[in-house]
Amino acid sequence: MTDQVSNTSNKEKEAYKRQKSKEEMQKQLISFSLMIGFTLIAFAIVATDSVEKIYIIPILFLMAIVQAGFQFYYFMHLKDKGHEMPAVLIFGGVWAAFLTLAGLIVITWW
Amino acid sequence: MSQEHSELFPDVLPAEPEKVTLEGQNKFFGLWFFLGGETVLFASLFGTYLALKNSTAGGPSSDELFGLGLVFLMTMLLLVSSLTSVYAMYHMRNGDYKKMVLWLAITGLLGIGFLGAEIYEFAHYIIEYDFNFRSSAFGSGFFALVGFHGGHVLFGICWLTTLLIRNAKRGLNLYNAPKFNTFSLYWHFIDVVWVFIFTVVYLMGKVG
Amino acid sequence: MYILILPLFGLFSDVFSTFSRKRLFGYTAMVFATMLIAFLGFMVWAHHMFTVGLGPVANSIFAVGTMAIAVPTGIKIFNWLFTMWGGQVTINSAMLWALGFIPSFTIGGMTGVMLGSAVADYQFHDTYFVVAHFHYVIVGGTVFGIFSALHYWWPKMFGRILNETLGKITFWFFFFGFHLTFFIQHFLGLMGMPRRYWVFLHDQGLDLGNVISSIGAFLMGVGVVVFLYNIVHTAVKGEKASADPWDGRTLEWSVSSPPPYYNFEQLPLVRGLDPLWIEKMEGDGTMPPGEPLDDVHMPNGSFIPFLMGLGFFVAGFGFIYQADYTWTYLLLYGGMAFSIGCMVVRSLKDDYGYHIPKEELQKALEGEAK
Repeated sequence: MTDQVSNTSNKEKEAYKRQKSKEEMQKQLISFSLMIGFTLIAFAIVATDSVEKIYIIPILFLMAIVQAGFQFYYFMHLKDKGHEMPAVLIFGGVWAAFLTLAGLIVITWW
Repeated sequence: MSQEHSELFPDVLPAEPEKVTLEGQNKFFGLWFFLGGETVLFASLFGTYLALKNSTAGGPSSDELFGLGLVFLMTMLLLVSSLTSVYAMYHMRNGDYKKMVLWLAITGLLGIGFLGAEIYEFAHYIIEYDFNFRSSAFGSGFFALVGFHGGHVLFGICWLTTLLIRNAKRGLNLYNAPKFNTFSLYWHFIDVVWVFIFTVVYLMGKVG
Repeated sequence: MYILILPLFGLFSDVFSTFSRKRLFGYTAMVFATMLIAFLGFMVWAHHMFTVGLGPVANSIFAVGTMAIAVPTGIKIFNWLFTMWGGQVTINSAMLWALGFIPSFTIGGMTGVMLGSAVADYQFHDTYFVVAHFHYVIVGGTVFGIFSALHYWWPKMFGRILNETLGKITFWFFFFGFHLTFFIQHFLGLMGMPRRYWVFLHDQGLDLGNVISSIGAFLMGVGVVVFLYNIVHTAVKGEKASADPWDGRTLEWSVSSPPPYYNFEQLPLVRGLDPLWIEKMEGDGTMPPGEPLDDVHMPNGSFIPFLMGLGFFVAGFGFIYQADYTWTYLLLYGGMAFSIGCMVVRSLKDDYGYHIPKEELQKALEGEAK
């Protein structure tokens, strides 16, 4: 009797688990199609030369950052619980990366 | 031995098999630590490339050199391989080992395709344009950055191959689940770096 | 530089608080200062190249960043002084090195600010002034710290206390030798003696200073030889150390010297900063367990990481010399293949670790209680 109860609850848990990961998968598919979309737009802008030059670089850069965000937050689950330390590490890395870039660019520009 | 470590081989896998054991949590944390360092490493390579981009020493410039078609193909290969490794992790969490292996194998094949395209591209530059690591500062910056990324892809493929061969007959358990998961995280990171490479190096190189 | 000194800043905090029998003054400020030094330390690398023509903007940014590091470092120096203030200061070898560190490192920090000023650096660059500066911070900071750490933790590492008399002889020889060697080099630098020359011109007014410098170097050598003798002496007939020879404040002094290979039978219950000291004041002087006694999971030892390192070491020579000698490609590819092979072996071999049974830990605990 008790075995049966735990069995059914196990099954329920299993079903719930699968439901959860299915929803997760849908979100990931949406972010993937958005990423493909961004990539297409980026290549199209450059290939067709349809946007004015000064706008192109910021647009490209913005789309790259959004794509990186999708990768980190959806594909690598940075949005989930228990990812506080990874987030600190990555943002620490991004900050140091920003400083490195800024330093090298400051040195070459002025 | 397996008697003593039976806790690693449960009949029913928990929802997140990669994060149950301390070993798994350490692997997870260690890999993110590594990725934080990699961010800085690639940033310095990007910085160097941007600084040296126009120092062509009379050789070909980025605009003359790059073709968008091949880069688009490479981007698609790597982006799709990122999605297939997401699928692999999805099946890992459902405890479906065979499907996970299938999707990981597809990921690896896409990675090999990417690498092949990159080798073709490099060979093209070196042979047709005489543009190599030592021909100009631009060449050094370009091959250091893109080549280093390619090296990461190669390393990832070797990593995946050994993982798949080693675990071919064992099925999923709490000992190897963290290993698959860390590989998938690494692979996504390689894709993030590529997003910036195709934006900063190729697309911006075309714009000027 | 900052990476070299930061771990030893931690050590000095331990030594000062232990031998002053007081808790560290301004713990939070100390942690904050450490973070700030680590943070700023990453963005000042260009202060080594003010004279290469970076331009005024880059020079100014890096000069300001460099000088800013003096602020958290000053916070730390004052906190150590305030830790000793009103404490029961015990002066032994470990503490002597820590005390010697404060003035030496402060001199190095002061010349650091001088060098950090981009304008003045055009005068100092590539002279012996720079040599004097970085020896004051690296020897006066890091090397003094390493000696202090060796004296402080030797009993914990090897179970025997280093000889105090010999330790003091080492310190005084080294301390005087160090200042004799490097203080004069500030003036040699200001007189215009360039660095990175293996001989200097005679009769340029630099001879006397260099002789003094050499004498100091010999004195430091004497100090180091005495220290090496101390190690042998201690290993042969040194005094056996108790678990807590210094009346310590932190967790490592609650386990035997040297510690058991699994460190703690049970994770200790930590009630605050300086946990052992809290138990000495408010409890029975031993750390209460924070978990029930259970098997301890241990990783297996492995020799493979060393071999990986060896492979990369060999490959490094290949990378350096491949441009000049073709045969060094052998080193490059051989070393890399060896390292990668080690990695493959490492990942193909399952390593589940092993468990220390409860009974063994129980026995160890009973042994300690006796």
